[in-house]
Amino acid sequence: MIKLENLTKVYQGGQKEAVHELNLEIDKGEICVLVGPSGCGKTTTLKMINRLIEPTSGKIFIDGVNAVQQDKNKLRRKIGYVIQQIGLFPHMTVKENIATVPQLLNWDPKKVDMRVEELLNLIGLDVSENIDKYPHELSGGQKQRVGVARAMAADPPIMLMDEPFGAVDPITRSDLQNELLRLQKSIKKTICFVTHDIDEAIKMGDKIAIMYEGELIQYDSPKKLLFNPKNEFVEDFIGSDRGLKVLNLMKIEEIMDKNFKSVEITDDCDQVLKKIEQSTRSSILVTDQENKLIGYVNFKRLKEHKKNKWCDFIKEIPVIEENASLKDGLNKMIENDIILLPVVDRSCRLQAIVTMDRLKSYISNKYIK
Amino acid sequence: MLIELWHIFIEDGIVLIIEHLQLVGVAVLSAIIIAVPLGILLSRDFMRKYNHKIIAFFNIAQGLPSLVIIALILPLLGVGFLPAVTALTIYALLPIVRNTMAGLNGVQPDVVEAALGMGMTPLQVLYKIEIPLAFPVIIAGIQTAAVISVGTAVVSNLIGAGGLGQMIFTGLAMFDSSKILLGSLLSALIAIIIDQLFEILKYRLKVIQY
Repeated sequence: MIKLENLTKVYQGGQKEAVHELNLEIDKGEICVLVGPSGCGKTTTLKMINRLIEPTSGKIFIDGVNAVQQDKNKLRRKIGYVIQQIGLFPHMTVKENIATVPQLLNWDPKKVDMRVEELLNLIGLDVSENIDKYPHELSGGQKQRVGVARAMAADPPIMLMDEPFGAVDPITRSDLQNELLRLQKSIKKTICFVTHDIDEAIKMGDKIAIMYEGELIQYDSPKKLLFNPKNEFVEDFIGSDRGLKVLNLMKIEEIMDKNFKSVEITDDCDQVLKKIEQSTRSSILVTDQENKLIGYVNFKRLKEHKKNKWCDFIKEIPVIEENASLKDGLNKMIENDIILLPVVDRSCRLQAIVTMDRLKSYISNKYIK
Repeated sequence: MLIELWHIFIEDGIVLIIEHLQLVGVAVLSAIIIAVPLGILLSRDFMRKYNHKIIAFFNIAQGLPSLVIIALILPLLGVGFLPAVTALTIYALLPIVRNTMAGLNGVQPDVVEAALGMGMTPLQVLYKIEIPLAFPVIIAGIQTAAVISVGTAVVSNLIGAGGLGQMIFTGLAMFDSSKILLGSLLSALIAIIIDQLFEILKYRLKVIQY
């Protein structure tokens, strides 16, 4: 856990405080993203945690111990550090780069070798192919992966990442972000992550700290930030499309409706018509006897052709799983020109439905007060 | 003509070549011992703001004719091997200090930041990161110093250094063109050989490092 208390930094010769009495608590195993326009003090804050920048005043507690009183170098060996320019040592191989901190900590060489291989596997780089390469032989994405592996080498409980994916192309960036999120599920580090990109912040952060001119403006989960921006600055910074950004963060299960009607394929036509009439909708979902979704039938067409073989009118319908994002859900509705999506489990059993109306009203209720 | 040159070479040449190499060798080694640490010191953070001025000074000093330095040494230290080596050393300091500083300043700041951020002490950053990365540039400085010293060593015979300068100056005094020719050719040859040896060394370093 990291706790910053009244942290202040005034640069030599500087008139203004780069960081002003900052109070922030980062819980264990969480990703906290510091975000804000350039010059807001986010990088200064980050670098004060490993004391590359010495705070002018205030305290930094790491697991309850004041970092300001610790030996700088020992402190830093316990904190992984990743920077935008990566800073791989050009005269050292991938292996030597990754082994830097373990060697500083005088690990047994065999243990170092094992750790390097483990890390290369973890970040998805082929061991035999890459271990003896020099940094200039790697692609931008590979370099950044090695940078992350190097920071994690001695298994530090804390990682500081200063715009780690800022210098790679958008596709690689998105890959790296997903990989870090995937990694984080298993390594559960306490990560402090600096970016100026609010989308990256929303994607990566368990909590987001929005900073402006050295002050912490709002510190909340991404969802709270999007639903309840504290002031106009935060609102502007998040952007005018915050309603859309929320869609990314929310899961289908949060708005799905379990209270709905469906028919089984063995029902006869009258039963089907009756059920549709009972519901307020113009169509109804059809399942088999094991509750597996087959499709839907339209009331109008069924009535027109009132036949015993109503099954002929069943049409296919796209489905969604409950842990998909609302964005995926909305996308499917728009793409297929439908206003209702059946929610199914892994084996295609019908669980619930999501409707366009419900989606719209859920989001707008949060904003219209 | 050729036979005459051969005779001079056998009689005096070999001894003088050895003397010449001793002069250059001792001078360049002492210059390295003084200049590299000095260059490191001058490139540290607390000196960084004076860097431009220091490098400008070294550039101007390098422009002084070697004869000036040799002439200045004479009243101070007299004549002989030691005063000559001292003059050569001073003259060889300049390119090494300048290149050491330039090499260290040329190390990417993000590489140093990453090293510090991982918990290397400033001393560890220096010998594990900065010096290895600056090494090719430092070597180039030593190369320049060595090649220049071969020529300066000829002139330093004026204060009794010996070496191939002795052959050339004797030749000049006696209007003996064979001695002048042989002395000049041999010192040029030594300069070229030293230069090429350093080229090979630099190439090797590049192959190892990158």
